[in-house]
Parts: sequence; structure tokens; C-alpha cells
Amino acid sequence: MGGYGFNVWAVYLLFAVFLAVNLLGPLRSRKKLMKELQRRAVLTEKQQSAASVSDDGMV
Amino acid sequence: MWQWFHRWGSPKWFYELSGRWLPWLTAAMVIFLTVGVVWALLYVPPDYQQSFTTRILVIHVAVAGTSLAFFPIMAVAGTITLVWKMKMADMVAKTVAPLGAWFSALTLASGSIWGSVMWGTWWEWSDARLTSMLFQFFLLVSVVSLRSALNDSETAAKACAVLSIVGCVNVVIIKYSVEWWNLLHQPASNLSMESGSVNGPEFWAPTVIMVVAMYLFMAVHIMMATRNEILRRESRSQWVQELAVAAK
Repeated sequence: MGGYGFNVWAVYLLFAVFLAVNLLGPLRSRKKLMKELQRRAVLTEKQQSAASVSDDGMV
Repeated sequence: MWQWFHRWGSPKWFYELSGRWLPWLTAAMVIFLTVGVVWALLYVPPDYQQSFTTRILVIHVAVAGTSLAFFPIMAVAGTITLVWKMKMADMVAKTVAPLGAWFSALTLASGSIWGSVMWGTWWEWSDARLTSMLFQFFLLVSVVSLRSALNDSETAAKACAVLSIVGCVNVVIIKYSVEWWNLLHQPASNLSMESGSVNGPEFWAPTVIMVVAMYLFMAVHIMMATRNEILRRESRSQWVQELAVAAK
């Protein structure tokens, strides 16, 4: 790079980090969100089935 | 026309539409990025004055140019939030700001690394473009902090909208400072259509490709982040719960 290799590669490395963080970040957030939503859905289902059992069990 | 406008206000509609567009936008982004970076690193010839540091400029110009789009986007989204109280617009305004801070930071870093060898200095406070770009970075960080400090409430949406509109004034200063004042940062180069000339297509063609790549990257990130925001804000709605269960 005509003696400017350090500068050129430093910029391209920063560029790669910038792309990686901003592409992988939303993907990771989505995975976490989906897991949380699925966990909540299971919880809600359990609560609803528990409520229906207690309704049946009432004297 | 109003029907079209109101459709954009539906998070479910946006989520479904963006889901269809994302694969294509991502593919286009990968193609433009690959072509741009490979061209820049392997084929951009050395400049008669700047040698191979013009390869830095392919990144710097594309990132810097795109960074100027953020406040206008946030201002439009903010105005729609203020006037029509459309929550989709606020979601976009929220997701755009952090990416804008990244773009501004990379603009400053890449320009500084280039300037350290070409100008003989990493920074120059008396240059209007440098300081106004630094100010843009701080303003974007402020918008993100403000939203978080106000707990992402309706007040936060309004405050960020107003700050975004004000931030557009700074964008005008960043853009025209090099024409209004004769300081350190050079004005735009006179590009040439002649191959082999100083500012010929060997330099500007990969730069244009990189600009397109940056806008595609911006679109991909904003779509992904806004879809996440929709899932967060609409988590209690039926369609989101069904989506989560189906994704298991």
C-alpha cells in the first residue's frame, strides 16, 4: 500500500467491525426476543390450563 | 393515498412487508459490499499525491455521505410522530439513531486515520466540517440517551422528535462548510469521466458502489432493528404471540 498499509488496513478493520456489530446485533436481539416471547407463551398456556382445571374442580 | 399512508402505520403490515423485502435487500447489500471492497482494495490505482490512501477515501466518503441522511430521516419520522402520532414512525426514529452514531463515529475515525498521514494531523479543531461532524456524533448519542432516560415514553418520542428536527441544521453546516469557508477539509473533488485522469472512474466508480452498499446496509439494519422493536412493543398482541409459537 505504498507505505500506508497500517492506515488503510486500520480503516478496513474498523469498517468490518462496524458492519459485524450492526448486522449481528439485531440478529442476536431477535433471537433473545423470540426466546422470551416463547417462554411467555408457555407460561400463559400453563396459567390458562391451571385456571380451567380449578374452574372444573369448584364445588 | 391516505389508505396507503395509514397502512404504513400498521406494525403488522410493516413486519410482513419488511419480512418479504429483507432477503432481497440483504443479497443486494452483500453484492455491492463485496464488489466495492474488492475493487477498492485491489484495483484503485495510487494517486499521484495521496498514493494508496485514496483506498481509505472509498470507505470514508461513502460512510460520511450516508451519515448525513440520519437526521433528515429522524426529523421526518419525528414530525410524523408529532403530527399524526403514528407509532411506526416513532419506532423507526428510535432504531435509526444508534446506527447514525456508528456512521458518524466511523466517518470521524476513517477521516482521522487518513488525515494523520495526508494532513499531518489526526484532528483540527478549527475545521468546521470536522467539529460539526463531531457535534453530530454527540447529538446522536444524546438522542439515544434521552430516549432511554425518559424510559421510551410518549414524552421521549416527542423530545427526540424535536431534537432531531434541530439536528438537521447541523447537517446543512456539515455539508456546506467546505464551500462557505476555506479551512482544512477539502471541498468536493471535480470528478472526471476520463479513465486514467486524477479523479477518474477508477476512483469514483467503487466509491459510488460503496455509497449504494451503505444505503442498502442502512436499510437492512433499520428493517431488522425496527422488526425487533415491533416485537417488543406489540408483544401482547395475538399475531406476535402466534408468530413466536410458530417460530419454535
